[in-house]
Amino acid sequence: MIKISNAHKTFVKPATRKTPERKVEVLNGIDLDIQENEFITIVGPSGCGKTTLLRAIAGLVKLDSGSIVAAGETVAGPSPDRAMVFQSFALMPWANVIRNVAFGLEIRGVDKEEREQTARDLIKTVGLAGFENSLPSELSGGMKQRVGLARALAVNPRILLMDEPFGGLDEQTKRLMQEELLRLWEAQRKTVVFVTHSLDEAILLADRCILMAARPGRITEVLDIPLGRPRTREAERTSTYIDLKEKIWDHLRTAQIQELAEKAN
Amino acid sequence: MNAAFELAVDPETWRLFGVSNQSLIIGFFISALVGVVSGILISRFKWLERALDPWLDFLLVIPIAMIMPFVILTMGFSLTSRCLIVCLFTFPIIVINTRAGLRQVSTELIDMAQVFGANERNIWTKILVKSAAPMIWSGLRAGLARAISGMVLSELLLVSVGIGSLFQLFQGEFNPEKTFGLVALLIAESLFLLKALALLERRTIPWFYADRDK
Repeated sequence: MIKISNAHKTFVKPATRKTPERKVEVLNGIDLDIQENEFITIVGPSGCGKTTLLRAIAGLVKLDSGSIVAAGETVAGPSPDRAMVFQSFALMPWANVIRNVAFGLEIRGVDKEEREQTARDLIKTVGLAGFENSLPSELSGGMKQRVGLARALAVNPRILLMDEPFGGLDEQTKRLMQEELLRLWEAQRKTVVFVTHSLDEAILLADRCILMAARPGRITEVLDIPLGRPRTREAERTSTYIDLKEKIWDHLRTAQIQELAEKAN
Repeated sequence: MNAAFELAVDPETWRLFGVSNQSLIIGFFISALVGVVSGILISRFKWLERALDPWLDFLLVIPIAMIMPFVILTMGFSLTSRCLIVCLFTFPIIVINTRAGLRQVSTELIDMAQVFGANERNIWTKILVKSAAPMIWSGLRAGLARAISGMVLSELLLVSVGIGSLFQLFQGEFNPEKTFGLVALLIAESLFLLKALALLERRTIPWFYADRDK
């Protein structure tokens, strides 16, 4: 469904009076094949390029070299096949819930009645019935991200890209959202690429978990998550889960300590 | 206060206010329209911004009172020159606020629009201008206050057709009550206009006040 081949991306931070020009290799030869309807999570220390990789799949970031083929087409920019959920929600503060959810359809020129009907249905699906006419400022963080999710689902994409969507939420909201996402995904399977810094999220949701490391940003390991589906939070109590969590933490810990050591030098 | 009241019930006062307000209304609307459009254009085209930026600063700092005689020399004692002076006061602040508003639009909203397939035109009409609206309105409010000063100054120093002629009349009569009465009326009118603009703003961007009113 998504095929990433030898993707490279370097960001150049221009020189300032105090610091010389700095090049950061955020993606260094990334290869990754993602199957249709697979749920992929990406974890790694900050600066490992996980968000850049996601944005490259979305078509928001142009690669320096290498290619990404998604849903049969080479990525050159955004496409209706790929929708995204953003970490800080990216809701339009002037538009009510319906208009926010219907935004993608509005851009596509779907007429008002039809797109608002679709939006209403999805607002129900994500559990926000009754808030159709509320403004984003009247919603809590969890509710805002439900709007973000409904907006992405409204365009019926084949690929759903999620950039630390629950990262800004408090623990109990986050757990609830994870469970809801599992439920939604079981009901309406899609290919999902989910960037996170939460170990539990990375395991609980995924079919496969991609571990990345920084400087240069690269994939260090791809873990199969052999937990059954449909999955519930019960899975967290299995030994497979606990071993996986230990393994990912080992990896992150090493990366984190390395980073500290590099900074100290 | 009595003097202000007497002035307020005299239809001649309102006729003269009306004459003065021509330059205020025309000048403000031209400045608002051209100012917002210019602010958008210089934000959209960086080369235009580079070309015009020094002139914008220039417009902001020129001592308008001192260049008024040149306006008269070129355009005469006309409504056009009064409007031009109001515009000189009003236009730069509206441009600058519009540009500032457009600069601080969240990049995530723009990313979002792009992901969902927005082209540049969509991004301008559906995201940028709407996000910048609160700043644009604050520019319009500041602009209106400056437009009023511009109108008064042009009347006092240049073409005393309305309020300015009354002011000179009362000064000539050494009549401080009436002079202050006139000032009070002018303040009342200004407050009324600012309030009207604020109401219009609230109707246009209610979302901006939705969580502030709680």
